[in-house]
Amino acid sequence: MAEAVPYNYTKPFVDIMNVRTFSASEGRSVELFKIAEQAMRDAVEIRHSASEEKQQQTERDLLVSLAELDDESDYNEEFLMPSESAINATRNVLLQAYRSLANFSLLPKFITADGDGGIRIQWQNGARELRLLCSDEGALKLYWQDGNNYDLEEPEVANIISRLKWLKEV
Amino acid sequence: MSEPNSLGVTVFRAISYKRWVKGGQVAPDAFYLRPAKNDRKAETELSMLTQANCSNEICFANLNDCFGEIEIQVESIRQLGLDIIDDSEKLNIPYHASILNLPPHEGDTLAQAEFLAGELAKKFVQIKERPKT
Repeated sequence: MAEAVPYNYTKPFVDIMNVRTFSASEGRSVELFKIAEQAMRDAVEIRHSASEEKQQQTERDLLVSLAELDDESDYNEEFLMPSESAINATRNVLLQAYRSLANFSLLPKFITADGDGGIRIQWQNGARELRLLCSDEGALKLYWQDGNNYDLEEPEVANIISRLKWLKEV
Repeated sequence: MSEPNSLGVTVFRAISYKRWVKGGQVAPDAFYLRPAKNDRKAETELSMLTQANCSNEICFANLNDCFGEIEIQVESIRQLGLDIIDDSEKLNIPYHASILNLPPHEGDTLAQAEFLAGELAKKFVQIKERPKT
């Protein structure tokens, strides 16, 4: 399937500016140039707000996925619902990480309960994988894998951010 | 179809939690040993099924809520350095098999357990989801 080409908001206005030379004889070049200049400024603002909207949508998607773990019918006395501590810890760290990463839209492949009151968040991009494990008490563990190489890493927000960037480098 | 008390080409992991399967893929969660918790002992072997002709009424895994089975080749399990045995007679549970040698999902072996769970999850042959009633 063909990949969608991002719309270049500034292109039409650059085109207008290129018209300037041809319109000079009509004495409209300065006017056209000003219009194009303002239009480009507007386009940059539109692009900026589109980027913010995308970021907010990513955050909403994350929160919705987390909220889906709240379905009581998924759990019983042997497979427990995520604890409040796990939900809060996971939500906080995810929002911190995603807000630090501008335009980062790679969402987790799986968001699951571990059955002991904890939560598991799992990302994958090609051979690279990242898993954030949160216990029922809110303690985090960070697992990464690249093909047959794997290890745990300190689950600090800075490391999570670095690993999310690393995931996208494939 | 394999006979009871024997391993066929493939075995099955019961899907006891519906979020183990999403978009035609399997989460590693389906393949790690649950550690000890409160009164529960740590799992040392991973329960599998030798057959999975289950229905909404009959569940070979004896689960109250079962969403289907993940089918995986015995050979794929063994290629990871693990073993699988038919222990239905020993445990007196029809169609039961166990994956052996999985490391505990905690402490020093947590990373290795995560790795093996992830590799097992990638090697499924098919996901047999239970028809919804």
